[in-house]
Amino acid sequence: MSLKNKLNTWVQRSLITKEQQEKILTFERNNNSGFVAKTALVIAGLFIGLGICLIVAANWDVLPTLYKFTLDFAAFGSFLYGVYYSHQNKREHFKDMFLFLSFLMIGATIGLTAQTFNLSGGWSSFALSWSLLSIPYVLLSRSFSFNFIWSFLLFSSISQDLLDKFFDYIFNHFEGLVWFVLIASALAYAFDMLYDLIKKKILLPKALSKLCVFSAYFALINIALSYGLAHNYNHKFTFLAVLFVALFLVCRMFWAFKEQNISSFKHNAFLAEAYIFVFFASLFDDLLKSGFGFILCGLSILLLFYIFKKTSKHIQKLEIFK
Amino acid sequence: MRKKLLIIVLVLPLLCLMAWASFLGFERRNFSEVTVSITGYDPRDLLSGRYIAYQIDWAKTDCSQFENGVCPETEFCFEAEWGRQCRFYVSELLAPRLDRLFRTRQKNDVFEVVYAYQKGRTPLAKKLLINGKDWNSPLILGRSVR
Repeated sequence: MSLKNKLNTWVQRSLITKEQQEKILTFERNNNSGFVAKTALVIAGLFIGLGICLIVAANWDVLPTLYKFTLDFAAFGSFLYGVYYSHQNKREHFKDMFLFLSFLMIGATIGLTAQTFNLSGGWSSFALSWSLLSIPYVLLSRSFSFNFIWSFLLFSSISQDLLDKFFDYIFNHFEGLVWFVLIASALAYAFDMLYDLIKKKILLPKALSKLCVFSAYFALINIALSYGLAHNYNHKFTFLAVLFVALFLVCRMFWAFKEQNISSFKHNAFLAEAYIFVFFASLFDDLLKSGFGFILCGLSILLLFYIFKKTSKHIQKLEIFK
Repeated sequence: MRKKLLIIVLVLPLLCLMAWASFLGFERRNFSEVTVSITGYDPRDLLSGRYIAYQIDWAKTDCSQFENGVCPETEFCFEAEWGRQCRFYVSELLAPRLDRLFRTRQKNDVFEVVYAYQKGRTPLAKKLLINGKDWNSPLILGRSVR
C-alpha cells in the first residue's frame, strides 16, 4: 500500500488528523527528493564505468602497456579518492557512485590484465575474482542497485557446467522447479531476517534476498517461455517482446508515480535500469566508440544534475510552480 | 583509527591488482620462451575485447623444447566444453584483418604462439606468429588486405 493510501486509512480511522497527514506527506516528499539525485548518480556512474570498460576492451594498441596500466590505476585511484572525500564530507550519493565506479574499475583492470597477458580463464574465474576483490566496496555501499549487481555477479561465477546441469534439472522436471522456488523463497526469508539484524551497517542480505526472489520469478517466466513463446521465435516477436517489457515497466512507473508510491517507483526504476543495460549490451558494435559514447552520456547526466541542482530553487520560485 | 581502516579497506583491492599485474609482467619477462603451433578463430568478449580463440596443435609442435622432450599438454590453456581453449587478445582495429588471415589461411601457412614458460607455472602467451613473423608486422597485415 502506498504511503498516501496508508495515511488516508489512518485519517479515516482517526489515528491522525488531516493536518498531520499533510505534514507527513510534505515531509516525505522533501525527504525523498534525494531519490532523483541518487538515481541520476547511479545511472551516470554506470554509464561512465561501462564506457571505461569498453575503452579498455577495445585494446587501444596505440598506447604501450605501461601507459595503459598507469592510466587505469590512476583512474581507479581517483575514484577511490572520490569515495574517501565523499565519505569524509558525508556526501552519501556521491560515495555510492564512486564505490560503484571503483567496483567497475576492478572488472576493467582484470580485463586489462587478462588482455595484456593473454590469460585464458573463463567467465567463472573472472566473475569470482571480480566479486571477491570488490567485497570491501559492496560492504561500504548503501546502494541497493550496487549490492544487487554484486550479488548477481557472484552468482554468475558458479561454474557453467554446474549451472547447466542445475537448470536442466529445474526446467525439465516439474518437482525440480517446485523445489527451486521453495528453496529460493526460504533463502529470501532467511536473508530478510539477517537484514533486519544488521541493516544499520550492511545492505547485502537484502540484495541477496531479492536475488533469490528474482531467481524464482525468472525460473517461472523461463518455464512459460520454454513451453510457449520460444517455439515461435522470430525477429518480429523479439521486437514485440522488447516493446511489451518496456511498456510494462513504464506503465508500472507511471502508476507508482500517480499513486505516490515511492517504494514501487524505486523498484520499477531499478528494473528499468537493468533492462536498459541488457538492451544496450545486446547492441554493442564498435567497442571504442560505444565506450566514448557511454562516458559522454554519463558526464551529460552529471552536468544536467549539477545544473538542475543549482537552478532548482530558482525554478521553484517561478510563477508557474506556485 | 577509523580513517586509516577506511583507507586500507579502499586501497587493498587496488594493491592486489597492482601486485598481480606486476607479478605477471615479471613472469613474462623472465620465463624461457617456447613456440607452439595453433588453429583458431575470432570471437569477442565485451569486457576484455577482441581475441583469437585457439587450440594448440600438439601434433605439429616441437616437443623437444620442453623437459624430457614431452609436451605438457594440460599446462596450457583452460578446459572448455569442446577441448582446451586459449586466448590471444588483439586490437579492435586490427582484429578483422587477423580474422581474415585465419579464415583464408593457405595450406602451407604456419600459425604459432610464443609463450613465456616455466614448468609448474601458468604459461603466458607473448607473440602470435604467422609463418615465423609477428602477426602485426606490415608484411603480414598487407597480405590480409588483398
